[in-house]
Amino acid sequence: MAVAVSVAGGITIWLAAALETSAVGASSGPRWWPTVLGGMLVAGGVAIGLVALRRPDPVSEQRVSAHGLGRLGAVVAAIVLYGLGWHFFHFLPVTAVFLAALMFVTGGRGAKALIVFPASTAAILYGLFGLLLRVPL
Amino acid sequence: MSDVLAGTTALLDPTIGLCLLIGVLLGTLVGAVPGITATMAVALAAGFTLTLEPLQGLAVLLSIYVAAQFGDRVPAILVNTPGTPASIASTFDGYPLARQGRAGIALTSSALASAAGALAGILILVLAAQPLASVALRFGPAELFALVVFGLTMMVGVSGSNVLRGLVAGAAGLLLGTVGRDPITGDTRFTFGMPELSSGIPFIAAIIGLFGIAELFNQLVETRRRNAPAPITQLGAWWPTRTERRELLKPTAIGTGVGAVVGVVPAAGGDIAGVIAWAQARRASQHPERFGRGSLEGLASADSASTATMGGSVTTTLALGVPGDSVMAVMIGSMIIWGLQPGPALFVESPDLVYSLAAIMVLATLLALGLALVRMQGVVKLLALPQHYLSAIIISFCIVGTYAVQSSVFDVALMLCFGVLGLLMRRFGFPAGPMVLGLILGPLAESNLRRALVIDGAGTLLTSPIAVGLILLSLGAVLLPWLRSTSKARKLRARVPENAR
Repeated sequence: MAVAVSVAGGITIWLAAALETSAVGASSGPRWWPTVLGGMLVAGGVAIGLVALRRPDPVSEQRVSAHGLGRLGAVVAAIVLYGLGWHFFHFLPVTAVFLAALMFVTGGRGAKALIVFPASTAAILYGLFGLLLRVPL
Repeated sequence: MSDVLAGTTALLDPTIGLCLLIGVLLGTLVGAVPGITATMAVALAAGFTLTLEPLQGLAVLLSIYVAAQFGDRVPAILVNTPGTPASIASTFDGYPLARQGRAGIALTSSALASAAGALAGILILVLAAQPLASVALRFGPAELFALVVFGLTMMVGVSGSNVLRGLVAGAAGLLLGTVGRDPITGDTRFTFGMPELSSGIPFIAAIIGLFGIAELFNQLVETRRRNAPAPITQLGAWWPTRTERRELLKPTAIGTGVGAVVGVVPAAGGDIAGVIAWAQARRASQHPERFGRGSLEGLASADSASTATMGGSVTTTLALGVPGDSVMAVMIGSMIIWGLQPGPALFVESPDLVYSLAAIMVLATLLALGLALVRMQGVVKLLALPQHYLSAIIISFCIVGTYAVQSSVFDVALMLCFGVLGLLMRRFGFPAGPMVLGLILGPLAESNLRRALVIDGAGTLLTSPIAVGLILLSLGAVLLPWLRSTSKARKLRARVPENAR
């Protein structure tokens, strides 16, 4: 992670130097602040790396499981497909199908979880955002 | 006086009452569900409140903020699991009380102490915000930059996580704040040809991703063993006796005092105040041995302290423009979108708004208290709701709420990216709070620093006493936790015998 932070800082400095700006020769122009922050990220990444070499962090978070990663991948894929489906179909059926897929992926089973809940939640969302707040869904 | 009158009469609009009611119900529900924090709920609500009038939207957000502090006591007392981080100290005595068959009395006492703390905190807001803003009005660019640095480092310092990683997260947030137009020259930066980024990173998409989606993704990837005890459903007697009510007075006063002070400190929230007040009340109690084993005094001190921080947090947010806690960081973002810039200028441009917000908080407190005093069997049932229902509701609200802000699919995609970024940050120990704060305050920090440098040169930060004071406090906020942990590690090493190493 320390390497990623430092690389991000380095890329920032490079991108900042490549910025096209109207302020010519200004010492604290539009490039200056991002360059300072990029430098801070590089320094922060190096510091995190040095500290990690001396004293590895105790792992406080719970472990990531392969099953969990699979579920995450499935949820992200469902969100992306939902976004695509929303372009072609009406909000209500697409959202109901999306919610049913989410329920299935996260462990919901049975008619209540896969039919009743998705349909009623989609209707509530449509009522709240589409009808009450007049968001063009 | 006319500002007070104008501020309170603005609430006579019946839609504000409806917004308050919705906010209190939502806040109580999200508070009662472990895993949904007040920050997450306010971030989600920010998505759909932006289509409302500012005062209506603020009524929803503030009442969620207030009511979540009442709802989160329910799982803390009945399941030994804090509903939000602010009720961590409520579990110390709340759950032991519930196990003794006194859950009803614990819930009522907690609600009463929480209401007392919240009202006292709001009094701080009414009395202290204006004078604090008057001082802040004299701030020039150097002082304003130092104030942003102070707010950012306080959030890093009190977050309890790795200070170095917090600083990196803050710097990354400030960097994200540079996306869009330069605050002085107007040149576009880091937009990569995307017009959606020309006015900066859409704030709501970022916060919903970092606080909502990231938390949910984290729950999905974890191998979580559900060892939480079943909720205690036998609540027993409901109303405390006269002796018990008298017992609550002193710890509630201690908690309120601690919460009022902690709340004013930028970024310090109810969780810290609750633990400090609990320890102070135990020190002052005639029965310290009962603390941690089911003491009403312990419960009252912790709960009054965490709610008393709210007034202080709003004071700091409105008067200085620096968020008092992470919920206020989200609120600042929403206010900016509504065209209300929190900070000393707010007291000049819309002085009545401050009193409107204080009145909203008072009403929300009273409504939340009323709701908490009703036997909430429904909330108890909610604690047994399977996680996948909550996950589906939260994800769908995150998506539709983000889309609703600008009817933009780009924002939804960006929210998803921030969700993944937030998950990675969480897994690798980088707190999201400083990043959000950096994103909000980045343009303010940059423009003021550059102005200060152009007007007075580099020495300006070292010649202004206020700027120097704030920067010294910032250094203290960053260095003290590090020094404390180093000294603790040294002491620990000294205790371990040489041959055991």
